Formats: sequence, C-alpha cells, structure tokens
Amino acid sequence: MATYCSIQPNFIKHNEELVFSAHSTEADNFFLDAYRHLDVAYPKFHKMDGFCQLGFLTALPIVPKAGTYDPQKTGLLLASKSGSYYTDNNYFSRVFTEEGVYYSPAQFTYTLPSAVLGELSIQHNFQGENYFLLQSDNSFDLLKDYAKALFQDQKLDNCLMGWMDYYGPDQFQSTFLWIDRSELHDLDTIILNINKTCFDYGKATVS
Amino acid sequence: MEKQQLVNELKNKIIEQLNLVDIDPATVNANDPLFGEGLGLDSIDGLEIVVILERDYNITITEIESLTPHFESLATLAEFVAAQTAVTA
Repeated sequence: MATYCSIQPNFIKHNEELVFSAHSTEADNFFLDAYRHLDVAYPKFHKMDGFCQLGFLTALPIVPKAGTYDPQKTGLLLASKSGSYYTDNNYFSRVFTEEGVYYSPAQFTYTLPSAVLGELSIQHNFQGENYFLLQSDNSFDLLKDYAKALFQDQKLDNCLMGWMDYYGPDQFQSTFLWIDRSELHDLDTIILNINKTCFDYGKATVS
Repeated sequence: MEKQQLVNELKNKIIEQLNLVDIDPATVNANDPLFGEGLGLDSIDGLEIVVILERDYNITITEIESLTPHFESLATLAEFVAAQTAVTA
C-alpha cells in the first residue's frame, strides 16, 4: 500500500496523520526528540549530519519491516534543491578559515548528498537501483517518470522516493513515498494528492 | 599516566568525538572490541580516532594499515599511545 511521510520544522506527518510534533524549531533538538519519540535504536543516527537525519526520520515510518520486501528489487530515488550544501559549507568554512583545525573524516563523508542513499541503503538493506537528483524545481515529476521506467523494466517491485531539503537547523522539509508495483497505475494520483496535502513546494521558504 | 587512567581518557575522548550518545562509558570495558561488536565502530570512526591520536597526543600516523593491531580494544590502543608518547617525550 502506498504510504508517505512528510517532515517540516515542528512536525512529522504519516499519511496526513500527525505522528510527532515538538516546540523546538532547531533540527538538532527536533530530530533528536523525534528519534527518541519513534523509539528506534540506531546509534549511527547520532553521527549523521542534519541532511541524513532528515532522510532517516522521513523514511522510518513508511519503510516496511525487513523481510516483507525484496531488497534487490527495492529502489531508492531522492531529489533535493539544497543537497548537502549546509554540511559542505560548514566543512569548507572550517577547513579554509580556521587555523589549527583538524578535519573531521566523519563530517567529510556527509559533504555529498548521495550519502543519504548510503545511509538508507545500509539501514534498510536496499540493493536496487538508486539515484540522487539535484534539481532547482521542487517537483516529483522526474522521480515519477524514472520510477515508472524502472517498474516497467521489471527492475523494481518497490520504491522509496521523495524530496528533501535541508538549509539549516531551522529550515528543512521532506516528503517520501513508499510505493509498490501494484500501485503503479495510481502513481500520478498519489503524487497529486501528496502535493496537495503535504505542503506546497513552490512556496517553500528556501533560499 | 596509569594505564587505566589512559584507557578511561581514550574512552571518553572517543565517545565524545564520535558522538556515541547512547553509550554509557561505565559499560565499556578496556578489552571490549572497538569495531564490530563492543563499541561497534566503523572505518570512518577509525579515521576519527587517528585524528584524536594526532591532535591530542601528537602522534604522527604515516601508515594507517599498521594501526590495525593497536585498534583492537581500548587496552591495546592505550598501550600504543603510551609507547608512542614515551618515544616522543
């Protein structure tokens, strides 16, 4: 069954149902509070940058339990306008502007947006096709077309797809959709519904 | 510095540097494996430990592969640090 999750500062919604809300507008606190609220034990979460934590939390409510899907037939298609700009810029600033700073290898690993693909693939054992797309318009259109092609080519039985943006601890948003082959004929309608009910990407306050 | 004192110091530095917020230092023993079981560290974490060695103990690492036996546990890491700092002192 198609299911989706969206996150904005202060709330997490799963299929329009509010699953978590918090007063904090800073991602470090909000993400940590959400992680604890969702009662998951995944120590690597604490090492991730904000961008990957956002992806982790958005996927968590909608990815089925291991064993209920074929990892080799599960795709992961994500897109973003921000990419990992926030982490990359922080890393760059430290390396080139601060004297005597030791570079953090862990932080460096998160300076590419595709790191979130790796984190999600490791956590959920996804082994199917995946890609991360940077695009200026916040839209599911390209993701949808690519997902359809992969389903039609028999490469996927399931797919986690979505949009995520992280511009800093108080400015982030995401929407992920989990879909399986049986819902392919409804994909256009499902995405239309997500665009209406989650949030208007076009009005997102990103800069 | 006493070996146990150095073990505790390294343990606290690693937990802080790697942001292992769910790990209670009191539950980590000197002979627990650093990688896989035990602290459950990965290869990137190993590089972070190298940063600790270079930054906090002034140990220059030229061949990371040679560190493998010293990274088995906090105890072996403390022995390595003690030996290296004795050489450079």
